[in-house]
Amino acid sequence: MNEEAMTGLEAEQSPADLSYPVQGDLRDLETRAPRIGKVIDGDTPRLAEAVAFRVPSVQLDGVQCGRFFLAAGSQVGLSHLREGTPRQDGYDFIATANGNLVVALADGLGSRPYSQVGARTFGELVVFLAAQDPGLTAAEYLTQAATVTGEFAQRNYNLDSHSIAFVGAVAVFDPQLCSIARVGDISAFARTDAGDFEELFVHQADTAANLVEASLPGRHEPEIVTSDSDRIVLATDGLAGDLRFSPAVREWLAKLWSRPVTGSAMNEALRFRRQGSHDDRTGVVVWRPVLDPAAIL
Amino acid sequence: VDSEVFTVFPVFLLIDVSASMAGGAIEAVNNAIPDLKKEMLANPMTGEIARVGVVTFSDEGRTLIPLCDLADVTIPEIMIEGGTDFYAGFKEVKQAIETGLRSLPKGTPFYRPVVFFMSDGAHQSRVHPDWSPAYRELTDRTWKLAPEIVAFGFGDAQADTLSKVATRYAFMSKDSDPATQVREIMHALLSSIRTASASFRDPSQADGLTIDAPTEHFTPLPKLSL
Repeated sequence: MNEEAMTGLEAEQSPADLSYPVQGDLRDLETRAPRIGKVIDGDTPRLAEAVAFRVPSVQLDGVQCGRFFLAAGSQVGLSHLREGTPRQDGYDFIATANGNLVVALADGLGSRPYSQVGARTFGELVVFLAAQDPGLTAAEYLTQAATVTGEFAQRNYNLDSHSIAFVGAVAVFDPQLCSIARVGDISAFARTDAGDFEELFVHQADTAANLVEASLPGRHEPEIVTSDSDRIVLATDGLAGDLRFSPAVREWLAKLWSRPVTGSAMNEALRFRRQGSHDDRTGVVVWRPVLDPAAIL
Repeated sequence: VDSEVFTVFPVFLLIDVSASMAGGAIEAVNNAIPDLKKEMLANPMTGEIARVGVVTFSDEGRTLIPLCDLADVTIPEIMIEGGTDFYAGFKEVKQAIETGLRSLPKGTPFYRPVVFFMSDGAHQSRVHPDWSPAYRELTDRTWKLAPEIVAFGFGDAQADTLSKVATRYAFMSKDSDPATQVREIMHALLSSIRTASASFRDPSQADGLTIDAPTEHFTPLPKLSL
């Protein structure tokens, strides 16, 4: 090949222009999850340059925890996949020494560069606190873990509270009752016998959808609800919004969660595509009492 | 909610169509709106959420395209009209927001509306010498649909006025050619819609809206009060 031809080739395909895979070339597993409304297929998922503190795109669980069964899933949102930023939701849980189940959920604020650090650390610290002291209330776990999260991020990473801001919730399940404390817009639903989802927190329907009134770390009085339902769903706002506004999503999830499920079934549960639903999706479903393990889907 | 309702991000373009916009500037606006439509068709972050209304103002305000999915409409040509009455523009866009959002299915979740204001000149009206009453009505936070206003100025636009019109973000174009100025404004606007659709969420509203206006083309202006 002469020099002129080589130059021409380089001009057409410089390494900087090449990317892999080719658009539309990704193989995925089939899904029965619904597509709802007018959905536009997105680009190849990407990771932006110089992203620190990345967390895995997906987190899944389906486990027996003492007297309870917990299935949980957290999936990175389409908006993050497109921007190349990490999932900012997180959850964690512990079966405590006194027979309770403590669950933490957190949702990092999208506009903050390291909110995934806040969300992840908060969950870990709630679990750590519950391991040390299983007798605290949901509100105590929430406020103490949030405070320590701020101190931890500052001390270890030199990140201030603003850059790691998140909303959080903690649920404490005992054999009779579930108590849930939250700051921000994480929500909780009780599954009714009719197969529907009854929201436990009051949803402010007349405010703009993108405004959150309070976040952590910070001094905010947690909102608290209790429920004696034997099936509770905790959800960050990405999933809570779909449960609230979409009969098709409710039907899909009610069917799938009619009995305890595995982690991979939780992944399938969250794979629906719904118009305008691009945020991270995180759901933690708790069944009480524990069913026969053979009944797991 | 018993029927499917989808989240909406209402975006309004409030465009000066006074005589000084004639030529390259209005041509660039007319070329840019179809590009906005293409973006809507190709990008789920904008196409599934953003709904767009186009309001023009000169001596009068006019709702050229009511709040809609741009993918579903034929884009009309924007024509040059007369003077420059900001008051008429603010009145009309308030009405367009109210009508547009009220027409959505009951229970539709919506983001705070954003109005992209674009002008190449100063307010000049004998009918409404003071534009501020209409502006105050539009931005009054006791009105639950009160929008954020992002102001872009070029040509003979006055920096101080733009700073007062914007609720937070105001930019003055650095380019010399009006057609280039408008083209860059429309690029910045498109990029801003894309960013806002994906990340407009924050406890302190001051951080909720991020606007991408490249500094090689724009001078950011400070926020001034009326």
